[in-house]
Amino acid sequence: MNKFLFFFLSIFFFYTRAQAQQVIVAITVADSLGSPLPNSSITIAKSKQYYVTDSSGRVSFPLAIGNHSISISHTGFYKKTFRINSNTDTSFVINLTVNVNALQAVTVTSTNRFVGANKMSTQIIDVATLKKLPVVFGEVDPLKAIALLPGVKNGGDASSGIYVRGGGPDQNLVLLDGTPIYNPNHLLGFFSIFNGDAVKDIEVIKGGIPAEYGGRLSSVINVETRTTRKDSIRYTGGVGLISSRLGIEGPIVKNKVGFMLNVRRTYADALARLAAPQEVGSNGYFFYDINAKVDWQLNNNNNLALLIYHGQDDFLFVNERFGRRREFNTYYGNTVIGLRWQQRITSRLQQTTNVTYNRFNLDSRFGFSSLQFLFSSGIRDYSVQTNFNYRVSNQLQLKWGGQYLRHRFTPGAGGVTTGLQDFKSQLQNQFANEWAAYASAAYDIGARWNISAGLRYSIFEQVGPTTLQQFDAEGNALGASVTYGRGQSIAQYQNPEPRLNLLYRIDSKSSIKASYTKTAQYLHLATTSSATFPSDLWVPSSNKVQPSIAHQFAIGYFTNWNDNTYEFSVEAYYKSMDNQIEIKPGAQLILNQNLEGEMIFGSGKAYGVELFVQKKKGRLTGWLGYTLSRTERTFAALNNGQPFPFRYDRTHDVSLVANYKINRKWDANFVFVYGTGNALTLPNGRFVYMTGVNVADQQPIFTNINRFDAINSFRMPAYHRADISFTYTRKPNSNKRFKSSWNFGIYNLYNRANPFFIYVDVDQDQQKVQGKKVYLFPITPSATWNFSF
Amino acid sequence: MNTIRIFLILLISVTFFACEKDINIDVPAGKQWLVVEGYINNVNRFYNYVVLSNSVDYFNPNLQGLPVSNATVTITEGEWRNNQYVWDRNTTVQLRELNFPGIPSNFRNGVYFDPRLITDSSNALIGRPQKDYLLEIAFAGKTYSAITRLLAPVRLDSLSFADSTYDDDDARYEMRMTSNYKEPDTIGNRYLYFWQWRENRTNFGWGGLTFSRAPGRDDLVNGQYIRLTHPQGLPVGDTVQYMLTSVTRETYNFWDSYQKARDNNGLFQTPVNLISTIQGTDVIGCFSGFSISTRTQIVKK
Repeated sequence: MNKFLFFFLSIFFFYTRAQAQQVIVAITVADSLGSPLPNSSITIAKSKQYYVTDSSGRVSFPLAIGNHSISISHTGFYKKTFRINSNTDTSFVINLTVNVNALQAVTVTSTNRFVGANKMSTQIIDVATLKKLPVVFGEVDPLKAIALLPGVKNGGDASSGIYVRGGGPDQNLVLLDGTPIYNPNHLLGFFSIFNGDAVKDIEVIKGGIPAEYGGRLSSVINVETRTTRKDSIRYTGGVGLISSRLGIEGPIVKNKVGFMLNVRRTYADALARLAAPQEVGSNGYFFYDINAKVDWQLNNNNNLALLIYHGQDDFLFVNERFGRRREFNTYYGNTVIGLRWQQRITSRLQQTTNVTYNRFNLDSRFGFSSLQFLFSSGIRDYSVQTNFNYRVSNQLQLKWGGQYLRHRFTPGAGGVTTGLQDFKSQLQNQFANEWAAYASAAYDIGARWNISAGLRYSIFEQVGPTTLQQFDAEGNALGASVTYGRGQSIAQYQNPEPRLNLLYRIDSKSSIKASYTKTAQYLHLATTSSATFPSDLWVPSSNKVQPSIAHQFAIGYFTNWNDNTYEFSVEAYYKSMDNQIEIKPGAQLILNQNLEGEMIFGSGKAYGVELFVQKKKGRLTGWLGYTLSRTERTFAALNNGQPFPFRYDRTHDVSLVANYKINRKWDANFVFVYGTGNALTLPNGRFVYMTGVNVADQQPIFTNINRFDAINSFRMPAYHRADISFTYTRKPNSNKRFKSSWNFGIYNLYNRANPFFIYVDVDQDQQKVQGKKVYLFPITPSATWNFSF
Repeated sequence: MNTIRIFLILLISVTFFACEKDINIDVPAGKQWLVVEGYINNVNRFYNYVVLSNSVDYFNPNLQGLPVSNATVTITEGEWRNNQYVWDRNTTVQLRELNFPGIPSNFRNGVYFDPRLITDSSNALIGRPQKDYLLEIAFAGKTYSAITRLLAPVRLDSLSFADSTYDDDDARYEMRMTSNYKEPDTIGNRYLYFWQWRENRTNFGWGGLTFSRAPGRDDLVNGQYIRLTHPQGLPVGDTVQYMLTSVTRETYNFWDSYQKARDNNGLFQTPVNLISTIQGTDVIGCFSGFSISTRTQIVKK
């Protein structure tokens, strides 16, 4: 016992002595207009320490007394290096100057973080890069862009569904300024909800997820909106093929309160009506979104930001025949309101608190006068989250915080009206509380090692008030129900979620990193691909539906060379996933009061190797990513209990992104992607049923029914595509207020017919069975005009 | 304006309409299965039959199936007594492939009827409510079996017609049919609906009738008076024979999966397999017990 006491006293002694020889330096990094620059890199030359500014552009760190050379860099800005003589706690603001040439570079991560930070499987794409990537219809899309990174896949041309290291699209924690987004898609998945004009950057964390994040299994996709201007009004906008954007930003109170408002709407419906008013009628599909933000710099130590997002998709199809009106109408959207308070309590201690409201609603109805179907679902959250960041010393940084979410689910309220008869689902709203607390510590052990260890502890409880219908083990209704009072516990789960990151610096240019992450997910997305309308349905963990749990191990080697011109990394990962949920084939989601009875449960695993090489400087910049991976699922109720490939299992995945600056006015961008075809279940047999005979015509009557023996045993043809775009800036160095640029792009340059889906057409008259491939985008040109003044 | 209009139409066509190509799909063939389609009902002796066929490879151009002839097919009546089935072997009927006049030969192979339909039709096989039925099949050295039950029929009170529309092509009015009945106040009742009308009047067999399921389960409407309107338009003046058919959970689940599998062919198909009720290896199908209440009415405006 005395030995332990001596040991701890010794540590305390050395620790306090070390503290006594240090001062605290707080730096705020901003652009020339005073807008903070999050994720700026700060390097202390002498100690080779490395820091990153937070979302308000601030960072504070301890520094040994004496002379130090400090370098500050940020993508798209000139690097600034200066010396300070530290002998007392100090704070100051550093303004960086825009480097127009550097903005042309297509880059993913900052140099020092790549090798020196104890953070792996994490990549950031800034807005400058986003706006240059060639995309279909010229619509800047952050979610499409991150699919160009290794380990991140999307479902194809018409899918913003993101699949990270073998996880499903509902397993990504998609955050907009810290607020979860439940459906990040517009236009049934063709585009994401993120307006490129409002976005600052997008960060993807595929593994080694820090303890402050939780609630989803596979990844964190963090979209940060831009900080507001506080000095003068500026207008931005763009006119594209299918949508236009308009933005305004500026001061409400000069240099103190700034605002930003960005709106976007598609007008394909309006164009169609203009072109063919008779044929189109009132039919159409449009979406819009609004991003608004108000930043209030209360004083040097406090900042308040209010974020409002609202987006909506609306689709109407009406057909009248024989005087009967057939109508299909669906609309869905997200509304987010968030208030973020960032405070520097002391030069060592900072806190951020978010209070958010978040709602996702979906409503589909179709039918005609004597038969109408209704499907609606929704989820509404209130949440509060607080994070503390305490830099104890040069070697030790502590983080801790907590989160509370109140969920309200509207699970699959449905109805069918057949003439006079109503069939109404009696499912009631459901409620759940989700708490989490976390603490983590990052500690430098000597010059080479850094260990970051954290523990997140999450609790989820499904509570009343609600009334639940009762069913037997086979899913048959018992005709009874159980009513739970307000706040009464129905089911509760608790999970410790340890997180561990290790860094070993081989030298100043290379390192090895390893991580272990356990994550728990309590909300589940039940959807069925057989539905011909959007049917997203979020359901809580309950007595029958267990939380999903994942364990991920990853190890990687990171290096850069030629004065940080090139970066290279290779990462290997293994992920196991328990309590994976699928909806039974042919499940009935409408009018089903026993939705949980339609779910089946299994497990999954994913493993792979990701290579990433990037060139960051020079006229030619870009990256090449390659992933070799395998993802499979095992369900007792599917495939005879045998493992089968996950639908988005992609053995090989290649992404090449290149940007070439032709001259001051023109630059060219090129993207090439290749991926193994998606796994698909196809019938391997057929039989006739429901037989009869037409006696008058002497013809048999029958229906062909397909047989499916193996799940996802067929592979679609490989997906590959090349895109190119050119950006023309007429007067790049003009001092005039009005600036504009054109972006010309060609999507699918060599007109590859990549399958959107495959089906088999059976022509009973011709006695012919023929495979069919449907593809969406042949060679597709686009032009977008962007302006600001 | 015309130039703009043409441009816009082209633009929208190019950008928003999917393209389609024929491709060759190499899917390994599955095992051959015996397919069983068996019926027992309480109102029509000619509609108690069993169809046997074999499944085919998916790309086999034979779309009419492979009939299975010369099987031994029997149906036996019994009941559930003291927690077990008791079969009355005196009621066993062996079904055979028959040469019905008027029915084409390509329907005769693999279709098994009670031979008394030709010799003594008034005494041919008929289902009785509240009785259980055992189907046994022997073929190619293998045996297969299935059990079904005829529930108590639910009384069909009336048919009514409303929601008229005018069909310009046929120059006639069409009506929507509503069946009116009282849903019993017991959870777990399941219904199928069949009807015969002008378009399928000359058809024979369950596959020749118009078929529908209830859009919801009876836990949503338990004990209510049901007024169920079917969306199909029926011409004014036509005569409709409607069959309100009560079925067991197993039979309903099969036909529910059948409907999903049938609707699921073509675009966006997902793998729905039928929920078979037949016991045996490499076999699929259903022995359906249909307990029917029927009405025949003229469609009126």
